[in-house]
Amino acid sequence: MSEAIKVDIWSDVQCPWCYIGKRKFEAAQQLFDGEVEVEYHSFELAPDTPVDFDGTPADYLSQRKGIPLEQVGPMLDRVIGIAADVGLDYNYDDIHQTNTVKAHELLHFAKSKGRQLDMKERLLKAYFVDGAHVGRIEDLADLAAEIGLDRAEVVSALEANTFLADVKADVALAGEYGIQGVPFFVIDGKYGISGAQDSQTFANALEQVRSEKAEVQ
Amino acid sequence: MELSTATGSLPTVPAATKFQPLTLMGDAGAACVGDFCEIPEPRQQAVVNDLIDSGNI
Repeated sequence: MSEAIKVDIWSDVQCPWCYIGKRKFEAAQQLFDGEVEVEYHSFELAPDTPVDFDGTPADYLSQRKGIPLEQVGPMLDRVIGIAADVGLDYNYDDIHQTNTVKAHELLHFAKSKGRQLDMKERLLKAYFVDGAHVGRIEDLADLAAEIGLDRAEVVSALEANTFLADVKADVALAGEYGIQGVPFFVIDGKYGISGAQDSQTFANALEQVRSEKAEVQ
Repeated sequence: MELSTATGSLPTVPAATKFQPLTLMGDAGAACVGDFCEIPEPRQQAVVNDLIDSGNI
């Protein structure tokens, strides 16, 4: 039996391409018939965002980047269309732009319980599809409870910043790798794939790693 | 905001210090950089470039 290929994925909860990339990578896993071990890592795209940002993502892009609102709309429409192509129903009318550090802490909490992948999916769906808030501890605890994690334990861990150091370590590790944007996929610690690429690209990378591992055995 | 991405030459990410440099694979893939998550269409890119040039971003 061949060893699982490790894939480390840097991602943020409010990055639209990260959810699209997640779906494309999952499709690649279907194309690739070997075992893959996925671990998500934290990347804060906008760590200075207030938890209760007062405005829409369009407002945010306009205010932060100076892009006219009339330009932001078509840009969001484009990403909504691409999301739909991979089966994701982005609902930008109800998105709550926020700070994601607590969401990342929750992902590390979930990892400690062996539930990181489920938590990642729930958080992305909450943000992009359900219009849920992913910045407040109480809202995050509700989402964690939905996948079976202990709500009170989550609240305690998030209030105590128990996993904050793990989040910052992930961000620092991204810097060590030279990662500047997400999603970013590190395959077997050797190959990097930046962005939400075609599923076949991911599958080809997995196949290459498998071939290389077979050569050295 | 175009991202630097790999082509057939398989470049490496140069900034890594603690780990071996990564060999980049694949072509251009859309990603979020900073708090900006879109690669605009060429027409929109021109608008963004103008904004960058003007120093308003």
